[in-house]
Amino acid sequence: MKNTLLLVASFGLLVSQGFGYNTVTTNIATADATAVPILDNTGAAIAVGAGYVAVGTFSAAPSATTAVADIRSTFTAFGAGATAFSNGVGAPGFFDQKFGASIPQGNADAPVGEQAYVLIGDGATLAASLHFAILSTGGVFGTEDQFGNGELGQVFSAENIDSSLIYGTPMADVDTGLGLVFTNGVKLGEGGLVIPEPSTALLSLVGLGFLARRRR
Amino acid sequence: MNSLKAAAAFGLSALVVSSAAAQTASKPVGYETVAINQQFNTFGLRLLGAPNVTSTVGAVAGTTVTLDAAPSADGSYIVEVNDNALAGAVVTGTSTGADVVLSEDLSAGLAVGDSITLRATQTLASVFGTESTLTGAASEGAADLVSVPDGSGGFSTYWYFSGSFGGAGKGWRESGQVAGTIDPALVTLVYTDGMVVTNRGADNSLVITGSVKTAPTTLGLTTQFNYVSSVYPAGSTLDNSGLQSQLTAAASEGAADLVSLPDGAGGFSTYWHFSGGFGGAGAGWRESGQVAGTIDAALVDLTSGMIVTNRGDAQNADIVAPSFYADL
Repeated sequence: MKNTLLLVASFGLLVSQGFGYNTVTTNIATADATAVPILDNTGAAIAVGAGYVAVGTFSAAPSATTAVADIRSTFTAFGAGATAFSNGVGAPGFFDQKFGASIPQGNADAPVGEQAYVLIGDGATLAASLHFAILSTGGVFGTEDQFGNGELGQVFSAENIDSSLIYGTPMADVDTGLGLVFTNGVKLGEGGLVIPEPSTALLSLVGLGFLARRRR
Repeated sequence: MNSLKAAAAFGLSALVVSSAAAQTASKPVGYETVAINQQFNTFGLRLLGAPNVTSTVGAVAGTTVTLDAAPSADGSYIVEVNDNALAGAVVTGTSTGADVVLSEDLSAGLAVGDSITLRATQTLASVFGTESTLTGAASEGAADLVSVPDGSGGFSTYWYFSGSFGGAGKGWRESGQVAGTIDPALVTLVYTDGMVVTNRGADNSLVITGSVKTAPTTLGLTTQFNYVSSVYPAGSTLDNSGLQSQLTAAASEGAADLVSLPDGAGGFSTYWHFSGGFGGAGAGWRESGQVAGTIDAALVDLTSGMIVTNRGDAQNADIVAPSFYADL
């Protein structure tokens, strides 16, 4: 009986020692002009403690014209972590966020293998945000190693912002009042224009034609 | 924090005394007691095998290095480069006379005349005992595990088989092995590696004896998580380790390399080097989550084992001994 209890205790105690699976993302690797400030739709840098930053997956790959409603409905945020803008230099427009959860080695369930996106909004939550930016370096979610460590980093700078910006307006020569001009910035967008279905457009034309005929 | 300083001072004292007693040793020697608490323990070897010979390179051809002086016996050694381009490099090697076949081809950087030290290897047997000082069991699931980095991002894991009925066939096994045993004297533990001991029994401890290295050491870092040793057994801190100039500093934690030290309670204390705000102001070490100010890195003692999270490409990072080691 003693041996049995010891075995049970052993297996019961063997939880992961590691850091879990973390996604880390920042737009200020270096405090110089290569950092990429995030601006709201008015062009003002999003204040520390405001805004929304999350890392997660989309059920349908987003594009530059994805509608706001689709952004909200197809995004799944990963892990636990603070979503308001926070950074180590205390400057507006910059985030340095970490989101963690457990993805044990061998797990193949979502989001494992899916592309990770950084979703940025101007509200305190996803639902409260009206304007967005979507960034991705193309990295995909993996799993922890045998000791419970896993990480996916997404660092955005002037070097990679052009290839990473999926949604939002790219800006150049951005001055946020910090005494230097940033090479690049990103302004949150309102989403793509809603393109009417062909049948809807056709019906409109038919309706207009009908009205025109009656006037005659 | 005073207790940490006191502990460091005691360690230094012990080293000096041991050094004086070991008149024939070319380096100071000492011992270190490593706590092996329940569950996971990250630690590194900081008291090393004794130096056998320090010589200059007479010739280099691929992985074979011919020394100007042969070691006292043929066999396996830890090979340290002491100066010039590859100063600090640590590899393993097998000697036959003055010829040493290295585990890696250093010929691109190693030159005739460079100084090399051959140091006795430490093995699973020499550190943990031919009959393990850790908890053995008849099944892997109940035994303590020793996990050693395999050099490719994974680990090789070993456990002590306590024998079948009547104790027959006991000995060290590799993870997954269900028959026979391995020779633990053939499993080399390189002192730059951090190891993980999974303790499935009660709290335990391990006394490691050996020689103290005083010269710089190069840690080879792969991308992401690296289990490494802090190499120097007493007085080594985040501040005097030299890691500040070797690891990637950044303005944000998410872009910086991290140094994680076991906190003794099953978790880690993690640090990163803040490269400063706009204009470089305020640079220094920060603790994970810290968004303002810096810590006094001289008060952060390095644990024997560390995890370095390397956010960039694979790189080498030199770690140095505290300056007072020059007097040992």
